[in-house]
Amino acid sequence: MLNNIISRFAAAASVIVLMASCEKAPSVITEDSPEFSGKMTVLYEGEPFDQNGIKVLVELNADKTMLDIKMMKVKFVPAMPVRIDVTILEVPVTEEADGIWSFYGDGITPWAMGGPYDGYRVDELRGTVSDSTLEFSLDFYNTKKKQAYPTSYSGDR
Amino acid sequence: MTTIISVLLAVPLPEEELHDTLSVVVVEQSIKQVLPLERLAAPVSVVYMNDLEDRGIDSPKDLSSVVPNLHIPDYGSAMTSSIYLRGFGSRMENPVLGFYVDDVPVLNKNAYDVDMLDIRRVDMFRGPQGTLYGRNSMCGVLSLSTVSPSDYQGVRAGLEYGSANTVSARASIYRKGKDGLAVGGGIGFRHSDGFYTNSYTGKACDPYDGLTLRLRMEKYLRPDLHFENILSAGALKQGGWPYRQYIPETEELLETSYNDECGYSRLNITEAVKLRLDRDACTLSSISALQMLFDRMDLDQDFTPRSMFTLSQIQREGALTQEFVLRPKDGWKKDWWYWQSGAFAFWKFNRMSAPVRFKEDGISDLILGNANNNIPEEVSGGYDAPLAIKENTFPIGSEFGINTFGAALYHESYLTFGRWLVTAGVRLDYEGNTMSYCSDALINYRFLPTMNDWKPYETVYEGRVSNHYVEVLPKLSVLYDLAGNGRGVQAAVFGIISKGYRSGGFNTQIFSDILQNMMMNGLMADLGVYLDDSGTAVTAESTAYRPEKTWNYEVGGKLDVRKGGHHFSGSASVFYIACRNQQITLFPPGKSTGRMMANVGRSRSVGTEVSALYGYKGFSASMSYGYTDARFTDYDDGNNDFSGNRIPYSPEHTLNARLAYRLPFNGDVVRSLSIAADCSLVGRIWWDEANTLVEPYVVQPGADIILDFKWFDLRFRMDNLLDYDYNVFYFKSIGNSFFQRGKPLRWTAGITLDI
Repeated sequence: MLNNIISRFAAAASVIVLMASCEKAPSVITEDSPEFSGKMTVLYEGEPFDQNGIKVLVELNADKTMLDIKMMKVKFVPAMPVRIDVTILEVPVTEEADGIWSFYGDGITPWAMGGPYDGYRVDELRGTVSDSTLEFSLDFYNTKKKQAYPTSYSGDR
Repeated sequence: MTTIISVLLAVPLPEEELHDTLSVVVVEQSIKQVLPLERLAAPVSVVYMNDLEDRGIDSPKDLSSVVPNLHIPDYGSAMTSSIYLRGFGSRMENPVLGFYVDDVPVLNKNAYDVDMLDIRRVDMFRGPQGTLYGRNSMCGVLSLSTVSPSDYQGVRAGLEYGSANTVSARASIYRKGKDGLAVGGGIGFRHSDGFYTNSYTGKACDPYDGLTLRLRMEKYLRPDLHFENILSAGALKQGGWPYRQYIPETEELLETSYNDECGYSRLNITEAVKLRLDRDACTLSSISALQMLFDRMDLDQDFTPRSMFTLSQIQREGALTQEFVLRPKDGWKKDWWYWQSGAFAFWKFNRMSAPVRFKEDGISDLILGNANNNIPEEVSGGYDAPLAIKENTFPIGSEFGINTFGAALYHESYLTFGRWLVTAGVRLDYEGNTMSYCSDALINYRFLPTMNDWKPYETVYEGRVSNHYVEVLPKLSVLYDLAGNGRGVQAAVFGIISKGYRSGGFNTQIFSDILQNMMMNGLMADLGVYLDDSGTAVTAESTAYRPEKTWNYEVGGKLDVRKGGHHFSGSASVFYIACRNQQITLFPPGKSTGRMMANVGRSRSVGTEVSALYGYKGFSASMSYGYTDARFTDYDDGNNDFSGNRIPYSPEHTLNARLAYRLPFNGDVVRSLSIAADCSLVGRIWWDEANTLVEPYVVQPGADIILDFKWFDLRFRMDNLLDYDYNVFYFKSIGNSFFQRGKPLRWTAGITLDI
């Protein structure tokens, strides 16, 4: 049993070290933020890696110019031993039509475990969100391996 | 004082001839044993005071192999009391053997290992005794009867000295007044410097000091109402646990060496009131008891010189038992039908504190070492150990309140048809357990490359669980009297089918593991990290284990012949026991700090027991032999299939043989000289479920000489004469293997007084 505990602790520690710091993410997302559930697909070595039932929280900031996106329990690659919560902060957003918002961002360092996760970078993030649906795509770029993982998400409330 | 061998193994003398060393009165047996032993369709071993003293039997552990197939290894401490009988047993929690002192059930196994002060008779009923005794009598019942001041009046005393500066002293007095009030009291003390050395401290690690006290009062309050009050108390303080680390790769056994204190102290008090109402039609007996136990165990749980982790367990327990037994007398009694009915109830409350304290090496090795080893070098920020816990030591607290309660109704009928005696009975047992628990831990952690400050993280786990069950325990036995009224010859064959069980309960010792698991999972969730394989989490609910049940099928025979001064008695039986929901002590894989009992599967045990006694004038010879082949029939722990393997810890063979000769002098001063030699053999014992480690046969001869004077005896006894080196226990802790060696050659010299 302790082996399990230790391996979990080791896994946690491994993830901890990928974080730049453990300070609390300056996100506007709360427990009451709109929650979407859907499918995330990561293109890994040319093959799609699907994850169903992925929950994503979205929240506009006060002046509705920025959007925070928090992806819950996601993997970047199938071999990841853990799932992590990843938050993309302050994505510029514009209202396209009544209730539909589009967003775009590039070169964003995601946050995880309370700090900037500079092992990865979010490129070419683009998508739309409404009261009922959320769709976006992005490239998770591994800064050490210099390899991008194209990712897409489609979910609804 | 006579030195006639009075051990009766399975084939007793007729009850009216059962005399002991104190007087010529009949020695009363257990209140529930209404049949004379020769009419009992079950194997029984009886040992009387004389033989207990001659053999140096000071505690129930010493009855090992004297009773066939009984094995109570002497290891750990007085708290341990692991009992194995006919292939079954356990190292922790509920025993397979019911233990009664003066008809009062001892409810806590921690109090099974007692100094036997003025024990007049030991009855060992082998095989399930569920119908009469209920819980935890799955493989048998050991019943001790103390000296009664109604039966014996006088003064007894003894003083002994032996190996390891072992000193024991006892004194007792029994009186009966003209008003019929009989009062007796005894006190005993034992000290030992210990037989094992802790090489870390250079001192003996198993010193022992124990004090035993008993007061007994009896009186007829009315002509038809008999009253008994028995107050007994025991206190001890000892070291122990002389475990030696075993290196499997080199088969090297290291010296006992641990750095943290190990010790056990106990105070147990039992107050019992027995009433017997004799009416024309029936006899109603009542046995009420209050039992209190306070003990504390401190353990260096890694048993190494390193500061890994320790356990301090404190128990404060109180228990009440009440039993009524109704039996017919002349008014209700039939020639062909005798019976007894009973009701039993008990309640036990145990408040236990059992914190596990992680120390410096335990934190760095068990937690941080493994964690940091898994952190990739490229992200460790140049730190060898990037993850740190602020505390050098921290406790995982565990507090428990455990209620155990039960009630039972039972009946047994004894039907005589010519030479046939049929015994049929059934018992309905209800038992409930509830446990409230609260475990907590607080640590401050820091990931050095990214965190400037320590971050506290507290884990609390509390709640309440319960466990209830009902057992129906039937019994049917048949005895056929082969000899009829044959003069000097008694012979019978018998067959028996009976069911027994031992109680379920809760695994309190796994709660530190549960909390560690929660702490790590909670910490990761707090950081937004989730494992794919979260494993099967042990929860409080899953720590409950169910009763273990056995069906026993047995046939046997008894023979007792007395002719021309020769006396031979013998018995033999063959048994088959099927066990379901077997409770096995498991050490979770890896570097676990806990252990737990689990119902792991099914097993069966087949075996035989043979006892014989021969006496002629001053010469006597006795032997008892037990063979058991106990195997798992269905046990797969998920990683290995142990089906077909031997059940560990219980010996395959037990043998005890004794030859004695008493040379009478018939003088006024020196009355006799007795010389005896005995030998016990135990083995083989498989130490693990995989049956990879086996203890070979252990042979321990002993001898004793008694010079019998008019008012006192001089005694000299030696045990383990060959100084045989053997193991009595094996276990694993945090991935390390350990053995305990048995005690070396020992001698004891003493004087006993009986006025």
